[in-house]
Amino acid sequence: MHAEFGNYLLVLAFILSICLSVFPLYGAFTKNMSLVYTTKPLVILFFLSLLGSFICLAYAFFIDDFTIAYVAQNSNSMLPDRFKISAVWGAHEGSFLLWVLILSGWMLAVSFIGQSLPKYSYARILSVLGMIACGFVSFLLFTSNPFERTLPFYPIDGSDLNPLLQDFGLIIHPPLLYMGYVGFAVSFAFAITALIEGEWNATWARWTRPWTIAAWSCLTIGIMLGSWWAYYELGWGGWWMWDPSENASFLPWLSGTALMHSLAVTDKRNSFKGWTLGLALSTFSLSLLGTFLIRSGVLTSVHAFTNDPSRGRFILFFLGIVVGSALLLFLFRSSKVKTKANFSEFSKDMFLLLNNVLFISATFIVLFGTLYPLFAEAFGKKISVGAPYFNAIFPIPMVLLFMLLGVGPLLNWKKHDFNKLKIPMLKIFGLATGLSLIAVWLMGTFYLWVFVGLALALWVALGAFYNLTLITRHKKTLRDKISGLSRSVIGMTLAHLGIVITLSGIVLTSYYSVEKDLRMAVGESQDIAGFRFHMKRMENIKKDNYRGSRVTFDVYKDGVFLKSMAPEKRFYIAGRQMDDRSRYRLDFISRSIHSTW
Amino acid sequence: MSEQSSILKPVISIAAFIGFLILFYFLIGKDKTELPSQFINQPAPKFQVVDLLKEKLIHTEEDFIGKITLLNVWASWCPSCYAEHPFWRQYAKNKDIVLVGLNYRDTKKKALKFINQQGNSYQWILFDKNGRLGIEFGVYGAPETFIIDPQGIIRYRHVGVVTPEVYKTIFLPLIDKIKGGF
Repeated sequence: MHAEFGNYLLVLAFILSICLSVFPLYGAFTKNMSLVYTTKPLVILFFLSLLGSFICLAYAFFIDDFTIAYVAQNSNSMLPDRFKISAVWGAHEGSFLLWVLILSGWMLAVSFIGQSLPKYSYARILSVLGMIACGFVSFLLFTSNPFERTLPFYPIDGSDLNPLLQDFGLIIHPPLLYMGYVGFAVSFAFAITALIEGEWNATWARWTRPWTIAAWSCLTIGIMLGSWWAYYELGWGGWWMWDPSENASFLPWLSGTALMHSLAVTDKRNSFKGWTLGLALSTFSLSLLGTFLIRSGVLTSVHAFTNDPSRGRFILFFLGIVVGSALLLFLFRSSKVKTKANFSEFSKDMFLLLNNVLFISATFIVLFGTLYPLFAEAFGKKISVGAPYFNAIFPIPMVLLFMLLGVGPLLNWKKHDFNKLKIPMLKIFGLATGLSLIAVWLMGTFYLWVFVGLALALWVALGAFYNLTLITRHKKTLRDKISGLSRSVIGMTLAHLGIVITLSGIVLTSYYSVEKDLRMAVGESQDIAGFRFHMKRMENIKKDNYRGSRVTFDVYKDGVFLKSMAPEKRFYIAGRQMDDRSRYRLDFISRSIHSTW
Repeated sequence: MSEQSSILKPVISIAAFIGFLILFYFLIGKDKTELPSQFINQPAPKFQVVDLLKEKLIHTEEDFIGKITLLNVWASWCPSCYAEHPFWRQYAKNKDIVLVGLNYRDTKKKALKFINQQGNSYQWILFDKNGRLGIEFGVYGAPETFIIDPQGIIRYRHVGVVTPEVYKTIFLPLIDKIKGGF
């Protein structure tokens, strides 16, 4: 019964989304207020029906309804309850239902928070979002319905959730990632509406900015969680593998970062309009491209969703319509909004322009590396473009970016006196390179990239702190200084410091990681990178849904006991799948101890 | 900006976009369930495995010689196998191709229950209790289906459910090719 009800709600959502794409838009064009006023109720109903549908699916998982094919394939009666809930988005169909639910959540937020927008623009924005939602819901309904039954022959028990996904990181990673992906649909809808109305100015940028920042933050956290999960669960070890599925999320991130900065310029200076519009459109287009790549089965990676060509064709068709119409609108309408910018070479504007250029080049580098193997395959060649390509090329725009990032925030809009900054910048430069040299010397081995990376990180960090002292120079006490900071300055500084930490982590783990494959028995010890690993015991474990064995290592440094680590090998009973799990801990400056077996 | 270049720009952008879409379209058709492995175009591994239904009967790789064989890997714990089986039931009427089952990592009781429930569509069934033979064939999971030619050489491996559509588009052409002597 719940399956039928969930399916019914999905159909209802589909019809509501059609209404939403037609009525408010038509109302806005014909100036028919009664149609414009249908926007909000339609959005609320759309959200509620999808929420209901999602709850129905979750309920089916909760009561182990294996007559539903999706439940049978991704759950098992022995699966712990919390994983039964996360199993709802453990595979293609359910995760796409979550995807549209999150989109409807964003729409709901826009419909409530955006009420101060001009009525017609409000209706158009939500109508554009309604069209996107309509595409997604029909995809769900016609090619990947999660409520399909396997009657009359249904399995007695489910085949279990992939053990790799039975993990806390995976419970929260997809929802956040989707919030980012889908959130860019809001900026997209704002840009499309602006193009329809033929007007794109600072006011529009001010409306779009918070939504873009919210989506970007979710995407950032989502990517981080995914990276963390891949680190300890897949045992990938490093910080980033350039796996196609990672790249698919990284592309909208890069483009979205450019968009965020470009929006700041349009907001403050009413310039860069073409850039901002183009980026708003391309960021969501890249989200769609990522969706297509991962869900069509075109890419093979850890996110191996079942390969069904009809799904790929549907998303491609949808992508063609969305991106194609956005492209046409942009090509023929954007000339109206362009303005001649006016700023000198040494100004915040200029640095943000360079920021855009570099982020867009970075996007193209990743896009090329991800798509090239696919296109080569289309012409009958099998090649893989792996980490070596990315590691060789990607740092180039990044190094330039970090160099600019140390200076950019300090500059004034329009024009800055270079001589004023010369002395402090030289001091910061000297301090950054000096400290970096000391740090590399303390690490023992000299690597050029570590030195450069740390120097750049320090350059940006010191620049950010110098910026804070400049902004607050008129305040007397520290308390006043801190409370005097605007939220935008705090946000910017935190984001830039986050990048600093990321960069330091990347260079240090890339060059100072030690990895060894050893054979050991209980009671034996091994010395690795200054740590002594003593294999203490080996035991069998027995849990509800898996059996396995666990080995306990005691880790010593200079004869002093640090910590016990216990990697496990698990055998999941229902799915007959093996899973290695490593317990790890972080030591000072991310010199991590990683034990797998 | 001259008049000509203002027309050129949209045309080039749109053409590039359409080019991308067409390229992607052709990528979709590529079948990723075909797992190329070192076992393809190699003789089937040597084995001696007991029959599921007749305990005294031992099968070897020699049994594949002479006819085209479809070796279907299944297990009672695999839901997709329940979904796939009606197709094989239908298919069992096809007399010129031998359908052989490989019961993979299963218990005898559950496997027999599956056969009693679903009907036996196989000419004979290999009982691979601990998954040894599965490893020899490079099996990842169930269901998987191998096409073995009359010389006992593995010609194709399909991962996942064989649907009528998969059978029509992938299996039939290959079987025809084998029949034609390739």
